Amino acid sequence: MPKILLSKSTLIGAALLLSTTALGVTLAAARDRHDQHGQAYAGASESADGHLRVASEHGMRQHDEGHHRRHSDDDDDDEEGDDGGRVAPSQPLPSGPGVPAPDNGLFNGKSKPKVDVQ
Amino acid sequence: MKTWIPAVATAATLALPGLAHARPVTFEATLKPYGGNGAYIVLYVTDAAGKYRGTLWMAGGRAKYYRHLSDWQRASGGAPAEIDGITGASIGSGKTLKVSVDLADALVDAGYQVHVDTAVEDGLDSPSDAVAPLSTQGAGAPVAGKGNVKSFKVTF
Repeated sequence: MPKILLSKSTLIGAALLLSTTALGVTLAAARDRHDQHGQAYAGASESADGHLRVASEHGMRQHDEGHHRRHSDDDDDDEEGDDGGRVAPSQPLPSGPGVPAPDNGLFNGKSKPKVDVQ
Repeated sequence: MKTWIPAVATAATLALPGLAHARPVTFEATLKPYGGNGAYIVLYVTDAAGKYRGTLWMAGGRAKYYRHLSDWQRASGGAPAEIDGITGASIGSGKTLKVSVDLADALVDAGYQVHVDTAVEDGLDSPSDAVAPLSTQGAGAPVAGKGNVKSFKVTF
């Protein structure tokens, strides 16, 4: 078996290195534990029996989306008009020159009314 | 073959005298200066028994608002076919809607009436806002409306 000769300085350096490493690991672990504990505490509220309850952001987001959706739906109710209406009809009825008048017996043949707005 | 065509045409003309003749009629509905968005207006005809016969013009293009023209909706059933080809934009506050049509002769001086239903967004729904007879007697004399219509007249 070969003899491993280690000088005194080498031994001291290795010991220092090992102790420093151990100290660093210990400090890092302690910091992680502290951070997790802090986050949980920030969003929590205390219940009646003293236990902490963590608040949920999901419910608020749902509420906001629903609220926004209701506002968007309101935009569909815009009116049209000849004095500057805002939105074109969502279901336009056929009323172009190529569409004949209804066959209801009121009009002479297929002649359509002439309309003027003053 | 060639002889039956004129025979059919003659028979059709004799069988439908009301539609073979027509006269130009003008309907003018003037709105009050109520302010706000354009009004939905519909002009339609009823016979001497009050039965719905047909629509002359629908001013307002969104079907979801037609329920506010309640007398017309109830009488016609609100069927889109009733107003295909005779629909235009809604009418602004204080404006006059003028509709000129060649009306079948059989409807004149026969007890028929023209109804005007109106509805204004966030305003008044006025079924049969104005009603005037389709009659040459008293033609041109304005009839006062009871809601959004200031006056309505029929001219031959």
